[in-house]
Amino acid sequence: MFQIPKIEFQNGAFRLQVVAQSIPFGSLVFICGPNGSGKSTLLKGLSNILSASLPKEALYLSSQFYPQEGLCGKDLLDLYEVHTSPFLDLGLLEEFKIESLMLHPLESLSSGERQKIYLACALFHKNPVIALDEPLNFLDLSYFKILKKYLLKYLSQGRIFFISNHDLNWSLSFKDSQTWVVFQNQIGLQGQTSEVLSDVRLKNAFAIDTKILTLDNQRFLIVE
Amino acid sequence: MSHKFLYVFFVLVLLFLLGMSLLTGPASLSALDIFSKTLSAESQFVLTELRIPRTMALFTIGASLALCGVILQTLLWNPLSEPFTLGLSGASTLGAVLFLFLGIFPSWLSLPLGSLLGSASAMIFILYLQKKIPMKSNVLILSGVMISFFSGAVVTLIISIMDPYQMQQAIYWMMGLVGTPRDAWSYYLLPIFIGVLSFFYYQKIHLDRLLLGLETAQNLGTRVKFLKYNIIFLSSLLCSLCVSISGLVGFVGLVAPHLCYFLFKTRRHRVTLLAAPLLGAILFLISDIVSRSISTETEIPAGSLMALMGAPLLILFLIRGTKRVSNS
Repeated sequence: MFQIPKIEFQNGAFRLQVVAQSIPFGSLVFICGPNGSGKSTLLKGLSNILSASLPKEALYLSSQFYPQEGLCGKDLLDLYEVHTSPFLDLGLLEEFKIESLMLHPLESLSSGERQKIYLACALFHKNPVIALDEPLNFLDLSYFKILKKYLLKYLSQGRIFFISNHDLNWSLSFKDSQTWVVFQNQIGLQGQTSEVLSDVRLKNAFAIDTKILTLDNQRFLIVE
Repeated sequence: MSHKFLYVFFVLVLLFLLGMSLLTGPASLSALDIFSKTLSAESQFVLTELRIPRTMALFTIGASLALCGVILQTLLWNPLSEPFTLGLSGASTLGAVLFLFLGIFPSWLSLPLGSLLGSASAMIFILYLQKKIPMKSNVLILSGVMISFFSGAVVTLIISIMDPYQMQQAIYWMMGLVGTPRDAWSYYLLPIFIGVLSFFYYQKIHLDRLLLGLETAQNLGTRVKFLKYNIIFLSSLLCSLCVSISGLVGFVGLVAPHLCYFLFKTRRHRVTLLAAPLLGAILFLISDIVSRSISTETEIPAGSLMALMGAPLLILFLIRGTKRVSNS
């Protein structure tokens, strides 16, 4: 279990209240909410970046790129120390089509190529708990499916993923996932993804009406 | 070109320049003289009291300033970072000029003591600011620029009221001059430089992680605060020692790291911590050898020649580097 105590995360002037809870290993938790509601603050807090009050088990992958001139993908894999990790899986590099890019300077790659390299580093990292901040950024649709495949594989190995995500239909495509909706400086709504996204209280967070449709046994969230 | 080839090439260039530096100057000295057992007393004096300390000063100052440039650019994420950017050099100069003016100590003690105190004061001020304001690189750079402006203004004020002898001493020293009795102090700088280099080489993977952002580095297990304070403290120590020996020498700390990134095509610290000091020493040796060769009557300060050489070089690397990235 990943234990989260009752805690308040502070990021600059922004504060976010979190109630105590235990997350079983093998859990996938999506975090959604309006812009500026505190999704990144929550992920950073869970990863011990904002305060050292949680066990050092979570790795955080930011949604922002930093200016890393003079580094290549191979350097990043070194710095994330993936070579000693039990989660290293070279098949992901092949499916992400980044094997041949690992010696190219990061600044010469497209945003999508860089995102795939960063995702590989985070997924291969030895920590059992991974917090991904908007991992779908810059990826084209085909890679949504590959990322999902590897997330399910790592979940079956007992890892925990916290993922902030704006594509709620991608969240709905995972059958056994949780969703936490962050608004009003707290986790205002949480539960099974399909239940949370069909909850009428979702309107309190996004101020819009939504509806769930089912097509070919797959649920879709649409904005009315 | 492989890194191994570049290292061998630049070590050979360094050895050649060290030899050239021993042989260049108004007093004629040949390579055969140096290895001769029957060296005249005059040549012996020139070699042991003038040329060797000067060459040692050029090597250690060039290498130390380049090392400071590498670690400060890593910490501040700013390609313009070097001891000047943090205001360390400016504050060192202020301390030294102030001590020269007050005349409390003899001038041989005023310069190192004043520059050390000046640099330490700047460092303490920066650390104080960092406690008060969240640690961000733009805050560090802005406070550094502010310290430099303030120090420059006070130095100008002090120099304007100095007596002519003191004024000449201060101005020459500020130009970045080697070839003074202070060169021998570099024998003390060398072990300190080696110690600082060894410390950072041991921390190389953590320095690499700083390039990914402070949050990421911390999340990956790097002790960011420990590293940050060590970078500030040790770079200010090295900088003040360099300033006390040679006065203000600009551009080495800026050009050598950029030349290193351009030639070795990486910012991994296992490479830059060794290659940039090597290149820094080479650049400073070249500028001093050129300055000694131009005129035998008056000496052009190596610091100003370094800036003359460094500025166009830096612009060239930046243009070629930008083209390389946009073409790939």
